[in-house]
Amino acid sequence: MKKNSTEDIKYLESQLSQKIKIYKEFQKLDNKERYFGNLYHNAMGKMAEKKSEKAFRFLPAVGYAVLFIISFVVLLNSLNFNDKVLLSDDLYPFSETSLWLEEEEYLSATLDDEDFNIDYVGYINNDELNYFNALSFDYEIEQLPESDINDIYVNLKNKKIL
Amino acid sequence: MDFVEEQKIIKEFLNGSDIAFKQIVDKYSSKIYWHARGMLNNHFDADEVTQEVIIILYKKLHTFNFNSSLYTWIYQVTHRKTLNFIRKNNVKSFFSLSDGSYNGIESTVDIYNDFEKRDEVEQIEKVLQRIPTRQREVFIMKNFEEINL
Repeated sequence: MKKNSTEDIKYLESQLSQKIKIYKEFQKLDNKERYFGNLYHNAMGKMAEKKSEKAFRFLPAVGYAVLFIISFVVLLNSLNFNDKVLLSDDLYPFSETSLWLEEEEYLSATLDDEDFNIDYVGYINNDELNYFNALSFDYEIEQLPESDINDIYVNLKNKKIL
Repeated sequence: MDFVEEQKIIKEFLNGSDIAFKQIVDKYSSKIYWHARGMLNNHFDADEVTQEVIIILYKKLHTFNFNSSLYTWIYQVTHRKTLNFIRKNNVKSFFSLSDGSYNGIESTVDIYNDFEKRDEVEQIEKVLQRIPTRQREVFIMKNFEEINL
């Protein structure tokens, strides 16, 4: 197959060799001056045309960069960094702080500015008994025997409400 | 235009003389065209390649290092440009529904429509296209451009 193609090429070249004179005559016609004279101006015109096209050409890379900047700005504006981060247990009325003073302030602020007077400070500064006495009990509770009240207190304490 | 004079003209162009560049183009444009035409078998493609080569000359002649003749440098540019054009055409014809021939156009418009032996020239060009690219180039250089190989 390869031998055949080589022979084909040789045959074609021999055919062409007989016609070279005609092709050379074709190349040397007098009117070629007119065409080649214009060629310089045509090329210069084409170059100027390309330059003007280049100025208005849309570059995909620039387009993507602009799109990225716009989407970044929109995203930045849609996020409000002043909002607190909401966790899943946000309905729990206590904040995560361990300081009771802050806890009291937090509860007062959360529950419609009512004066939420929990005597945590007293509990910390005094002993447990003083704290217990500082709380106001309903009459029914006051009527309970001391052992029941102690049970309630222990129960409450175990539930970590205090 | 001898070697020294040619160098002088190139330097004039590099200093900003468009007249000097026109002199260079006038000297080499026909060689560029006929090489491209032999390779591409088509006036329109040859014309396009020639104009592209002239534009490259205008933009890149400052990279010419004067180690070879200007024609060698121009020939290399023409050679690359022509092969690129053939590759592009092959890709285009691969994805195109038409057979990729230009015969309809070239038989009606060409630079030498009044040439008596025009049919014979067309036959020569058709035969040239049947030769593989590399062999075609060597044949053109040897026979049409009379370059000693």
